[in-house]
Amino acid sequence: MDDPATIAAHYALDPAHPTPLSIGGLRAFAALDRREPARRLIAVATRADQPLRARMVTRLGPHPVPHALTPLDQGPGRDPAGQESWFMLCAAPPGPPLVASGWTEALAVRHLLLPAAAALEALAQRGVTHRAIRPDNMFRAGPGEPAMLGPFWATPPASLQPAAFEPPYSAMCVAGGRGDGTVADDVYALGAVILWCLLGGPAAWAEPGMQARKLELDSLPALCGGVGPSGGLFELLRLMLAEDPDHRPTPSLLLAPDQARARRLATRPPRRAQRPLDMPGQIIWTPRQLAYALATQPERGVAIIRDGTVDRWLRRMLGDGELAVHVEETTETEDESEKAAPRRDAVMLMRVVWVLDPLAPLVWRGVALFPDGLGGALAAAQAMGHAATVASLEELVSNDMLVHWSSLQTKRPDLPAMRQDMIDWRGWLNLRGPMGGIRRLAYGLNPLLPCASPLLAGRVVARLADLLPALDAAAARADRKRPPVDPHIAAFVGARADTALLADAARIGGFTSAPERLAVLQLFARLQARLHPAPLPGLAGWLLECGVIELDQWRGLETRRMLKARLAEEAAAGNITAMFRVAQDEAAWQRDREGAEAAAARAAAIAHELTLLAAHAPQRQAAAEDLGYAIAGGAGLLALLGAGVALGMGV
Amino acid sequence: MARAAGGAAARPKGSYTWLQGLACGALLAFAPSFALLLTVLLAPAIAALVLERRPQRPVTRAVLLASGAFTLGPVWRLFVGGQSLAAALDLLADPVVIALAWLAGACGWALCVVLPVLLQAASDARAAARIAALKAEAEALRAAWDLSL
Repeated sequence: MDDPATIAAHYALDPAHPTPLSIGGLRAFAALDRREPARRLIAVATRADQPLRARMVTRLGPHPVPHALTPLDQGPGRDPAGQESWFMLCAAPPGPPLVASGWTEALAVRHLLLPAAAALEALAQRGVTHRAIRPDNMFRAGPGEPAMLGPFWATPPASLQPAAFEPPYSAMCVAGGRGDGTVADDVYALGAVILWCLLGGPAAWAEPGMQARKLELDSLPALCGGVGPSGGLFELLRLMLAEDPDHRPTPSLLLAPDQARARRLATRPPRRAQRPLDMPGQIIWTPRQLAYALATQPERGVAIIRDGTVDRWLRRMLGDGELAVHVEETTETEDESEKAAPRRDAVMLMRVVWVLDPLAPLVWRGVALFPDGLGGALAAAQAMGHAATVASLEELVSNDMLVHWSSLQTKRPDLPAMRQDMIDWRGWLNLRGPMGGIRRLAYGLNPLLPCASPLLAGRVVARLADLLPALDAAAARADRKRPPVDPHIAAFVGARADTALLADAARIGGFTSAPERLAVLQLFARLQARLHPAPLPGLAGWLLECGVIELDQWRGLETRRMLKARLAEEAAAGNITAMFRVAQDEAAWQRDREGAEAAAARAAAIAHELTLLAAHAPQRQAAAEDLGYAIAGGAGLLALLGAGVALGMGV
Repeated sequence: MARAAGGAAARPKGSYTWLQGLACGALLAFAPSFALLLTVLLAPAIAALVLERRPQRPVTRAVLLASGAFTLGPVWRLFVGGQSLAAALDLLADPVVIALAWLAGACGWALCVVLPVLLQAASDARAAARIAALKAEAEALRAAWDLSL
């Protein structure tokens, strides 16, 4: 983000309209396309606890969807208050959100049902669900104009949907954990929106008891406040709000409402018990209510399953012996191994909930979610600091419970197909070192989740290419004695990097040993070479000061001085790649090693010789005496011989 | 070799003394003039022999050889001059004869005292120079390399 006012190269927030708008529950700002200034755009600011649907954006592609706002581009930017956010750009909505007044059945069909069904049909053809159909996320220019579906790609699926607009099995999920769902869930939400308009926007829909009422009465009666109306469009709404997604009409069928309305829903109302089962805060009449109660009160649920209360209630009060047998079989086929003991109750409860309500989400230690909602749930729990939820999700993945639960599903054929993905998730989680673990899982599951590292000082980094400039900008105020890498950044790089970068990142380890610290430099050098060739003097200086390059490893003192000077020079130039080349010069390193070894050997020889010289002083004295005596003796002998010779010669 | 060394070690030391005593006795008995002349002229060597405790007696050897060089002449003159005790006394009456023999012995002794000292001084100087050179080289190595790793 070279120019803070620019978003994704061609866009900018409109300085003439700095007041934030509320689009589908998110902040948004009027935006400009610098290539077409007349074009009316908005920039939707995403939230850290609501990671956007990156894969859906990819699937949507560049082509617009009729009657739905689709993203044009995305990127980091600063709002008028100076706060950095990740913005998604799209065309401005045609008008304000829906209001509940002035609707008739005919108008609802013409201006709500038909355009929304066309949008859902177009999305379904691209394999995309909307999952954000609610009154405040549908817009129209005015009375008599068709409605347009609002942004659905800037938050996890259905994450901002009130319980009234979500099927009960989806509404019970944790924040962000509702998953992509199916187009039938969009049909349900659309039916709820139409009903909301026809009923004049009842205030009771916003009350907290809506989920419980739906579980007890089914959706349409609960939304209508009792027995649902009949006739006309309500017959179609009864289909759209069917509890079983298989019973809901498809978007293509909704495009011909008369035909869709003619379908008959041959379902029996849920079996009600003669007497309810009391649980704290809940009165249970149906198996689905029981499943919900077990999911929300796991400890109590395990207790009443273990003591036979559930079995007796199912057999005697509900009169469903077949279901009771099924529950009993589920509890009897538990894994009795010691290894499974800590999670035995959780597994049993998960299976019992599935037996009681095959539409219910996966339930693990009180956390309910669909497997394809794991990324959103994890990001939300981490952003909100819900450590217990994070721990439950971690246990869920590491114990392969996602695979296990998905293999039980018959209603969602897409989930068993995700088996390999789920095994990969476990691999990320179990990966040793800072590149693995729960953070890696969160970044891996949310391809545009901004890195949460405190080292980034509030900068939004959602793509790997944005990491280096953000660290460069943060370098001035950072603690430069510590490396510019922490577990968040390591996990972020691990999730975003390709194979070559992964090999570099894997060497980072715990940043403790010299090779691990040098691996940090190597990683940033490669990142700069591949993603950001511009100078990064701040980050380069930070790397130099934090000690990722241990000059003490070089044994030649002159070499150290030379390297220090060269590294300082390259750091000032912001060239991390060159810094790594200097620090990792194999030939120089080899010369240094060989020179040091030779010097050490020579030093040892000198020390040995000095020791010998000191130790041999007495020997030298003795040798000098011996030699002196020998010379004296030799001189005497020469004198004797000379005297003998002189005597013989008669001198 | 071990047996030879063992045999030498086992040989009674007193036998040499006995042989030396026998030789001296024989000399006194059969050539008293030579015994007198040799005793006087080699008196420093005899004194060194008595006083020196070093193995191999290097000082005695040096004094004996040096004195011996100035004893050969008087002994030859005694031999050709009648080998009598009077002739020996005549020779000894010449102070130059005695002085030369004794002075030579003193020179032998002096060499034994001075030469080891000089040689040790030279050896120490050579070792000190070597130590200084080695220390300088070690210092240069420490200045160029981190040898603590």
